[in-house]
Order: sequence, then structure tokens, then C-alpha cells
Amino acid sequence: MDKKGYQATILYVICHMGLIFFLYPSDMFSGMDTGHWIGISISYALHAAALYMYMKGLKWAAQPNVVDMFRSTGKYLAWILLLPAFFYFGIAIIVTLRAYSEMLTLVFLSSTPLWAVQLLLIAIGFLMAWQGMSSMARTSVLLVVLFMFPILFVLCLGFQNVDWYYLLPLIDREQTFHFIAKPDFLVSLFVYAGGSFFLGLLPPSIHISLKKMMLGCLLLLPMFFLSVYLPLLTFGQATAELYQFPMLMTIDTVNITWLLFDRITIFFLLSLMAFALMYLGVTLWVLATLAQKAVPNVPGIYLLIALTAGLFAISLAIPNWNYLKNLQVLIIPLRLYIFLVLPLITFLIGWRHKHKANRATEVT
Amino acid sequence: MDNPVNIRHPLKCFLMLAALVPLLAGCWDNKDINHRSLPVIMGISLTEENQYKVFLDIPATNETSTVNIVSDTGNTINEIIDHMSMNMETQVDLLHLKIVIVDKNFASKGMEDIISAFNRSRDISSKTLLAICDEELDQFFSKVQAKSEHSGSIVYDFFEKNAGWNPQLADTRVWQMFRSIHSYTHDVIVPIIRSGRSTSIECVGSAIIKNGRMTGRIGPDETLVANAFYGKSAFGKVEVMNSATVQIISNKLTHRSWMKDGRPYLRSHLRLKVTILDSRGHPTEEQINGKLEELLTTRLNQMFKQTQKEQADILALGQHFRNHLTREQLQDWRTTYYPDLDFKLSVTTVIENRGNLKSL
Repeated sequence: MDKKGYQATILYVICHMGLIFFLYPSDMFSGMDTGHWIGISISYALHAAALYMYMKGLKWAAQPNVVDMFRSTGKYLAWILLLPAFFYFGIAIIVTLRAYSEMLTLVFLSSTPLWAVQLLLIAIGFLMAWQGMSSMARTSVLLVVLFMFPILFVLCLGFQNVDWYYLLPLIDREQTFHFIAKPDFLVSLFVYAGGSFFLGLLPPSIHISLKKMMLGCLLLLPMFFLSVYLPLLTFGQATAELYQFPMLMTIDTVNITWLLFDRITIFFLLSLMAFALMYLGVTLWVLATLAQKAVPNVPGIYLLIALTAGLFAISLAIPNWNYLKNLQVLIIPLRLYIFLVLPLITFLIGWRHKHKANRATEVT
Repeated sequence: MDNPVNIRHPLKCFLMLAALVPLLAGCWDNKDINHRSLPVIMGISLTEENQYKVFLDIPATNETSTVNIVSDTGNTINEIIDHMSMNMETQVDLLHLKIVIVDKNFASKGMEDIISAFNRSRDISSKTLLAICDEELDQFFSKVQAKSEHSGSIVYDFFEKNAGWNPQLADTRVWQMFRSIHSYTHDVIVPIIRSGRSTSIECVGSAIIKNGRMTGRIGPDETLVANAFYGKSAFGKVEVMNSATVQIISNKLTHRSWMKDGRPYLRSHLRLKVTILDSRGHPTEEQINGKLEELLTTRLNQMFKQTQKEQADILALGQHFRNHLTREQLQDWRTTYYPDLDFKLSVTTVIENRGNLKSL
């Protein structure tokens, strides 16, 4: 169907868009006081490099997916390498579910109980994952068509209240790189870590084009900056760090009298929610696919149901927001592993494959 | 996983659709709009026992009256709203609240708590306007109610940019106030209103708010200059002493800031484009320009001196020193640097046109 690699790129962009605008700015504001662009640039550059290595490794290995590729190096190595990924994605789903349902109740469903929102979110994610990757990839194209315009519209209007002086100082005289080791900054890497692993599990019908992927990655760069700098320019660091969801507060300050609707936050939120649901679906699908590889004799649908039910139960069991924050801090090593180490390993294995193949062709 | 499970099977399809039926109801605990009261204005004052007294102005839906005023006292705003809801036949919903009017005495005691509460609250918009009332709120609301025979939204229209707003009126919203409480360099002005004699509301200037506390006041003319400084003065009219009235068409500001021996210096240049509306006698353009520049400069300097004394940076001059001071130093901006600031403003006015008449 899709020979040009658009679907994979769109899926990748959507998964990240669904994450960027919510938890990222608040983590950045608590992680850094000044010079936020340095932090964004560093983590973005690492992400772009990791993405490139991951895809290059996959391409070289010429294996259908990352599990088979790891298996080719050793039976147990695949287990050891992928088990952390499995755990990480499980926790990522729990965090997303919980944080997003909390946010939805905060913004407009104030009388709806949390569990109902969580159930709805995971049910939609489950349905998506059930239908498989190719249907999700097609859906993602539709979502872009439907929701990209409202999002861009709201983002443009978000500049209404900016005070450009808050941009200064670009580099503080006392700027240090201590922030890199700060838990808050490491937690902010959440947005980078989860949205590209699925590329290694795509079925052969969906192609990946390295060039388009990198272009998609480049498209995300302004989004990372906007998500942090719109609140910063509107409120300033001292106020922005007080908000749980700075981006939503920024959109809330936009005042347009000619628009039919009083608050445009809901447009923004719902459009991004559609993207976040896509992320949930994709991540659930990744988990189910990994589980399927591990236990091939159980039908996939049962695994998916079991996973969904388990994750839902765990996300219900989380008592409060602080607990969620602690959870995010606890999985920092796992996150760094997914963020940097796994792409690096993929790259190395791919590189070895390529060399082997080269030698093989030389011999024959 | 990748061959989608066949859902074309009719029974499966039916079961799935049946499972979706409960979702059709839409929202949780939804309440009909007829059972909600949507107040537009909230008034808050302090009683002698240090309790809040909240007034709500609810546009009525029936034909006999246009505005309902409800009031109650209590210890927290939310408790009062809850109490009102209990005693009313509908549920009070603050979703469409547009203006919060605060009593002058309460404002000078500090509004930090209620502003934080508004920001924390799930249903009050952070775009809600703030105003300070110069008279007792009981009196104000009863007069408003008496005068709002034809329209329930007089107070709201008074502040609305596309209805009654004038550049002589400050325009401050809850989020700006919240920012000013926590920001190191940003203070705000809030309009002071009272019920008028012939009109229903009258603006008597603006309050200088520092960290959520009213510390002083400025007149409408000074508010216009402050608004010019914020870039919001278009269509403001300035009367130049006995000789003419001009209207501001556009304004542009440039700044130059530096630090010397730990003392901040700021030179600002305000360029105004004006058009002449009225003239008395036959002044020349130079005379008008000269007088206008002098007038604006003195007004601004006077206002600056006053705010400097009160350590309230309503013009956000500290913003221009973000590059010169570290964050720790900026934290002390209001107390250490601002009173010491050497600020000079020069005003240049350009008369864009003289209307339909060639000469003055």
C-alpha cells in the first residue's frame, strides 16, 4: 500500500505530538531556571541521533523486526535486551493513562470519576491495538488531516499574550550544565523515549524511509520549542513553574472575541487527545507484539486483553499525583536505556550484520 | 496481530454496538442548562469578622427581571458558592464568569489567596477581568441592579474591548494578576469603578497592585499613559492644555538599558502618531507637539516617581534588565534596584493628519 514511508513517519510524529504539550513543559520548568533552549536542544539532538542509529541499524540488519534481530545474536540476549523495554512501555502506558485522565478531569470533566476516563482511554487504545498496525497507520493519516489544523490554529493564537522580554537572558552568566543530572530534566525525556521503538516492529507492509523519518523528526523540533516557550513567554519562569499543565494555562489566556467559543483550550486538548490515544494504541500494540514473540503459542488477542486489563488495574491502583511523579523518577534508568542504549545496541548489531554480509559476498 | 480480526460477523458487530449504547448519554452527571445559574459578575468583600462576602450577578432567564443579585458570607469562596447553590433552585456554575469586582478595603489587604484559588479552580477562567470597587459592594450591586432594566450585561460590556472599553481603562485579567504576584518584575494596574450618576458605571482611575495588594492609585489620564506604554493606547484621546484634543493612532516604544556601578539605567523613547480632533484658537503644529510631549512626559514621570516610591513596577521596567541581572538579583528587583532606577522617557509625537480641514 504505502511504498513511500509516509505512514510510518506520520505515526511517529503523531505519537510525539500527543505527548509533547502536556507533561514536557512542566518538567522542563522544574528542571531548568534559565536557558531552556539549551536543554531542549541537547535532548533533541540526542533523540535525533538515537532515531537515526536505530533505523540505520534496522536497515543494515535486514531483519523484519528488532526482536528477530536481537535473537540472531543469541537466544537469551534478546530476552535481556528487550525485557526492560517491555517494562518501560508498560509503565509509560500507566503514566500516560493516569496523567491524561487527571488532566481531562482538571480541564473539563470535573464531575466524571477518574476511573471512567481511564477506562474510556484504555478501551480506545485497546480497540486500536486490536485492529493491528496497518489500520493504526491508516488512522494516523486521518487524524493528521482532521486535527492538525485546529492545533496549528491554536498554537498561532497562543502568541497573543507573549512578552518577548521573557526570552532573555538567552544565556545566563551562571548557566551550568547541572540540569542534565536533575531528576526533573531526566523525567522530561519521557516524551522522546517511547514514540520511536515501534518502528522496529512494523510489519513489512509499512515501509520506513530514512529521509522522511528525519524530516518528520525535524518537524517536531518547533513543537518542542513551542511547548516550552509559549508558556515561558506568557508567564515567565517564576509563574510557569507553578502550573501543573503550563501549556493549557497559556492557551486558556487567549482571548478572542470573534470566535464562537469562549475557551479554545478544549479544541487544543481534544485534538491532542486523539494523538495521545494513538500513542496509547501503538504502545499497547508494541507490548502485545513483544508478548506474542515471547509466548508464541497463546493467541495474540488473549495477550492483548490480559495486558490491557492488567495495565488498567495498575493505573487505577495509583493513589495520587505524587506517586505518579515518584514512579516517573524511579524509571529514569529504564528511560535512559530506551532513549539511548537500545538504539545504540541496534546500531551495533546492524553494523556487525553489514560487515558479515560484506564478507560473505567477498567469499562467494 | 496484523490481520484484523474479522468483525463483519453480524452477531459480533451487534454486540459491539450494544456495548456502546451506555456511552451515548455523553457526559457524566450532566446537568441541563435550565438547571444552572451562570453568573457573569462576582463581587468579593470582607466583612468586619474577616469573612468573605460574595455577590453574584446572575442574568435572569425569566421575563420579570433582568438581573439577580445573590450574596452570602463565609470563610472560603468555594464554601460560599456551595452554600448559595444549596439555597437556590439551580446550581451555580462559574464557567462563564467574566468579571471579579473586589472591594477596595479587601484589595488593600491583599488578594493573593483568592487569586491563587481562581487559578487552582477548575471552572473559573483565567481570562476573568478584575476590577476594584470604590464604594460598598452592597450599594454598588443594588444600583447596578436598578439600572440594568434593559440589559443584564452592562458591567460586562463596560470592559469589553469591542463594546465599551476605552484606553483610559486598565485591562487586567486573573492570570496577569497571578503572574504579577509571582513575577519578580511585573506589577499590574486594575481599574477602579463605582456606580455613576447618569451612567451606570463610572471609572475613577486605576489601582496600583503590588504582589496582589493595592498600594496606591492613579487617575484615568495616567492610566492612558500606562496603556500607551503597554502598547494598548490606540484611539485614546488626550487633551492638550487648552489648545487641542488629539487621538492616538499608534504607538511605538524603544528602550535602551544598562547597568553602571550596580545602578540600573533606562532610556525609553515613545513615538506616538496622533490625529487632531479639536483645536481651540489657532495653535501651530509645533505648539501642539511641544505641549503634548511635555504633558505626556510629566504625566509618566509623575506616575513613575509614585510607583518607585511604592516599589511597584507597573510598567514592567525590570523586564529590560533581564539580560543585566542574574535571577537571584532579579528577585530583589523591586526592593533593591527599582527604587534606584534612573529612568528617562522622551516622547516624540507625529501629527499624522488634521482631519478634513487643511489648517488648524
